[in-house]
Amino acid sequence: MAELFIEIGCEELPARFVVSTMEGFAASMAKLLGPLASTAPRSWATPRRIAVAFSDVQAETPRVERLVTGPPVAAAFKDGVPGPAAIAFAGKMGVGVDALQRVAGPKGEVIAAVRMEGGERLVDLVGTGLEAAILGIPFKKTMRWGTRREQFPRPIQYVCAVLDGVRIPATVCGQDTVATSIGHWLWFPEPFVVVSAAQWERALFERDVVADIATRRARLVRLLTEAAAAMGSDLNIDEALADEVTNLVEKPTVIVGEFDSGLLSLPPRLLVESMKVNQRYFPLYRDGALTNQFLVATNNPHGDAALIARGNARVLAARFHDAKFFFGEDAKKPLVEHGKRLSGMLWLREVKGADGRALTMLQRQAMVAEAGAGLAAVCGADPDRTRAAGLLCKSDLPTLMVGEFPELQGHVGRKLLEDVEHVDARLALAVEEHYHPRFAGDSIPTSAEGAALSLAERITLLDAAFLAGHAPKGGGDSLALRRAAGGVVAVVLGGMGHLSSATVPQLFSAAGVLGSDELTEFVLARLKALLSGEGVPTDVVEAIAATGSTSIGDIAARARAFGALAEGGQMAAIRVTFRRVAGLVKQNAGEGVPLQELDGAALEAVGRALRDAVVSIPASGRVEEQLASLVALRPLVDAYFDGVMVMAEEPGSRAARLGLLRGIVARFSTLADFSRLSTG
Amino acid sequence: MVERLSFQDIIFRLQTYWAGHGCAILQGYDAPVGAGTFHPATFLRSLDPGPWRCAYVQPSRRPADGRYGENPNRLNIHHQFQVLIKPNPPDIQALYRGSLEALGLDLKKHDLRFVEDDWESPTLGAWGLGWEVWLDGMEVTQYTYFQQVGGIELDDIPAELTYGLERLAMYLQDVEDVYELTWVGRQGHEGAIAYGHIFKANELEQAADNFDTVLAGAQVGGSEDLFHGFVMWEKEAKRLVGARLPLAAYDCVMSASHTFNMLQARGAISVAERAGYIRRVRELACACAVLYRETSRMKLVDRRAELGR
Repeated sequence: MAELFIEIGCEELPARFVVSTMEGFAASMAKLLGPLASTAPRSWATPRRIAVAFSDVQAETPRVERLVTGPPVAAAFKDGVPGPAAIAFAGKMGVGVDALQRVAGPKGEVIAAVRMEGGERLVDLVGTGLEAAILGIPFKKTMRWGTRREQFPRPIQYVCAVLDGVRIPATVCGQDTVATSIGHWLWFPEPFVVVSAAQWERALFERDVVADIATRRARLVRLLTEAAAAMGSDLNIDEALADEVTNLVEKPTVIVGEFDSGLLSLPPRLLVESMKVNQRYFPLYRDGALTNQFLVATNNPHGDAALIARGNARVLAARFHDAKFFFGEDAKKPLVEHGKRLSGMLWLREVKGADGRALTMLQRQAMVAEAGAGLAAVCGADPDRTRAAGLLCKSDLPTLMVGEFPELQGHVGRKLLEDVEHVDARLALAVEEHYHPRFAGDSIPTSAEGAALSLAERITLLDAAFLAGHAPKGGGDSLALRRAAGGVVAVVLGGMGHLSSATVPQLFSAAGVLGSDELTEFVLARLKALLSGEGVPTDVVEAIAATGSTSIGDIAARARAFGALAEGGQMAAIRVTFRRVAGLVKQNAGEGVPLQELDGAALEAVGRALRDAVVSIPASGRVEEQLASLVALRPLVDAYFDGVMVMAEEPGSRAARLGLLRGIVARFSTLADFSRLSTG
Repeated sequence: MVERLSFQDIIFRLQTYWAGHGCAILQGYDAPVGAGTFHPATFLRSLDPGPWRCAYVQPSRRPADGRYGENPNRLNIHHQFQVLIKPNPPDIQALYRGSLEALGLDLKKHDLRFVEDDWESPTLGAWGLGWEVWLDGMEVTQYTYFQQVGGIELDDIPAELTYGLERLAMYLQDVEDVYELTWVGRQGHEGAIAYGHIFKANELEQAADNFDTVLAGAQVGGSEDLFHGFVMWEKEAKRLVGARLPLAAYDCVMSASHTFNMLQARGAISVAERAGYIRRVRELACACAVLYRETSRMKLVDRRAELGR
């Protein structure tokens, strides 16, 4: 058994591609090696290298003898003398004519030859297949470089390929493979010889490269945690940022930076997002509040920490200088004054008012405020406060601050209201929260007023766009209506006030819009997608939706209850049984005696037992109770099917037996339409 | 830092360094542009057959970034040092690092990082992949492997290195305010000329031109004429493309693009209209690129004959 090790050395890969490239390469190599590799590979990756090792590969595929049959003896030999067919077959098989055998075939005797198969050498397989395996890794975005035609996320600098320390000759992107690797580019630019994966990893570690992602991340988190503790601060680590930074450096080293504390008067989201998104810094907190210190992971383990910290602090100062100026300017006027300039901004070109002109953002703001006030009751919000917040909710758009940092819309309005005007904090919060959720999975409003305005903002957009004929078709959705509908679903599922029991048309009506069946379906489609994403089987979601409910909370509650059954492995049997019930009822529509008129004498014992069980099910109940009844009923239904032939010849018996099934369907008609369940 | 290079010393060092690696040292183009990429030596030469290496300083106009000379970090006109090498040599990253060392930076003391940045110029129909290069967290260079220029997939790939000279100089001279940079001489010594002395008045005037009418709330005075100007440059570019003169046509594209930037700074172009203007400039740039790709492959004698000379 031998060890195969391959490393692709490249210029800095985008951090977000490091893991997927590593996994893709391991899969690609495993595919190339096929049965030669018997165990799963180990993989490593940094921004500058992707590596994989197979610890016990076979040097060649096993050799086997295989008997290959050819043409009939009669056609191959004439009077015992080999003819052209025999000579051609022997040639093809690589044997002499005298080595041909005769074996019995289904249609008589045929000639045959023994061929040696297998014996394919790993070095040949890798030698010829390595480039295709590397270029065949699935990438999201690739580029070319120099005069090469090949594509990779960033230029490849070398490929190290060794089998037990011996180089495997191959060419990748015009370059021969090597048996060496390189450590940290700054400190260890000299190549070193690679003997094995373990030696390579150790040699890299000595050369300031931590090749294993998990080890590198652990080192990063440990250094961050220690630095925060030493400062007496809280890290509140952002895990996604830690993932990204892990793949921005080959050996993380943590340095503390500091910016002018005067900048802390800026909206905290600006500071935090600038630090995290633009600079990949880790902000530090104390007592829940942001401090003017941050941590930065550098890629130079032996650099001048003070110098590096100073440089990083300068960047922030420059970045925040404009912001401080802008925020200061903005704070000179109350938010309502800024809002007046909304009259000069258009909402959407697609949406026109009664005068045929596109609505301004001022009109849009008023629209959201009114709809929000209408939705306040169902959200458990104060209608006056909701309207007041609504009438300011877009007013920060004309500020210099939002002009410069559009992602801070809402937040700037809130900060101006809180810090400068000192208005009711709940009102200010609603101004910011009406933008939530901004994307799938984002946090939803925490305040009832925020929830009402969030729904108002989305419902009015959806209604206006649908009325104007801009419902999304196919993949296109330029107005982001799917996201808006997804937002409605998310906020309703948050369950503020009475939202859980509200139907979609009720929400439309409360928001003061007409809505339509098409729009209701559009919103419910997002709910279905969400539930499917949670793992509720699609057919179950459809069966529930087919009952005609338009309440997001109700459909979700039922779907999740069914989803729990599915997870518990009980759905398969339920599907089979109740789909059969629903199918028989559907195929024989109109037949069957109503349950209450059903005479027990017309039923057999299994039928009577089933009837009694069905009748005793409460007509309405909580979802969990109904599901429990369903689960309990199933064995009785199965016994019924086993015991009687529903489609009896005798009309009286058939009517009674179908009637019982109809009764079951009716009893659960508010739970799900069983005929939509799939048994395949 | 032992040595504080003046602004022009930085330029000289970079010029000398890149000249040493075969770059033709050119001057910035004599037309207002938003970035060094617009220079024909980058935009059109990327489409040439065969190798090409050049470097130059390009004063770059970003009307929307003007701040009346009051902001220590933002400028209407800043200076880019632009290097274009086609095809990129395999050791271009190392060459780039060498250029920083030529500026006296001891990279072993600093944190130099290459952070993903996918560059795209919608007005030039160009895109490439590369990085923003961070020196101690500060972006000092935009580093791009062009893939497409003027809507055309490139045969050989150029590496474009764009150094932001002001930012780099502020770091090297350790000043917090761009106007305190020393352009020539030694900081604080007799005869030294400060950056502010050369450019501050221009920053003030350009910003006043770009913003004040807007801030006063009046209908923008010069905008109508600028709109006409845009249409005029567009027409002119089309005419010259029709006359098979891509180099001359491209001059008009740069002017149209700059006019668009001025209109944007004045807030005269709504968000909805913006994409339309960008498309119009792109179509012009792409038309020039297609034509240039053809004519640059013709023999000069054939070109002369074609133009009746």
